[in-house]
Amino acid sequence: MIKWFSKWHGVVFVATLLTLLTGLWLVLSAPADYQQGDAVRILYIHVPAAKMSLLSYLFLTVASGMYLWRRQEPWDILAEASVSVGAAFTALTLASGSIWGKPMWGAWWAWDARLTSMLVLLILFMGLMALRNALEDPHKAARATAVLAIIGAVDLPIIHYSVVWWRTLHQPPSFAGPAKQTITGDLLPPLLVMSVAFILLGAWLLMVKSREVAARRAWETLETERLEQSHG
Amino acid sequence: MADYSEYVLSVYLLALLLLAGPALLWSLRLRRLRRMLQAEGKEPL
Repeated sequence: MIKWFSKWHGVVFVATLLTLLTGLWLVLSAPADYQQGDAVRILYIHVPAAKMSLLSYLFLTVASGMYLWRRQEPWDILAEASVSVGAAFTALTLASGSIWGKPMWGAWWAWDARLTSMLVLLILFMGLMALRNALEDPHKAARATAVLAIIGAVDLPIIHYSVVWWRTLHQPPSFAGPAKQTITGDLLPPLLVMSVAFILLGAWLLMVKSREVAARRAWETLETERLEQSHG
Repeated sequence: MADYSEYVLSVYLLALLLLAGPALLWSLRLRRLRRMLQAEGKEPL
């Protein structure tokens, strides 16, 4: 799988760049919202980043489950990579939401169900990184992080349905099916293109980070072998 | 209508920092590791 990443990462990078440039052009040419003004342009980053945060965690859960089932290292490499990628997208989601919230809500932060559950997601990503680094035995670290990642997946439906289950300051889902569409007209194309660009960007980041993790592990194995030879 | 351009600009700069920053760091680390592995006669990833 990692070799497949090495072969295709260039193609994914070019596709990401082209989609991102098209998305940015649409963002700049889209009209300002009649209520939010130009602040609506923040949502073209915030919404795709939020989708990618959830998608990264979903991918992490699948990779962790597959690792626990099959005990194959590539699944653990993908899990480790998706934690880093997911953490970057979640940090961007929270920061962009906060910057949008100041002019729109009059506050940088509110202990709202959606915001709090998203903060829990960032803490989970950080916790998974810390747990992996804290355990010396790589197999033990892989198992422990996989178990924690699967337990933490309970946060995903909470994030998604938080705006439905509780009365929140946060608006309802942006993509809720054609019957409940909350964004229409000129504002939809840039959001859709930016969402595709972020999916491609997430895939490319996952490819780069997975290759880096695999190379680091290969180097560490080499160092351990060398150390054992020098002691033996 | 109020001018929100500084909020918008700061979000786009932040996105660049949070996404392009790690990408650059991981790419540079990968390049260095590939070179080290190649120097040891190992197949680069």
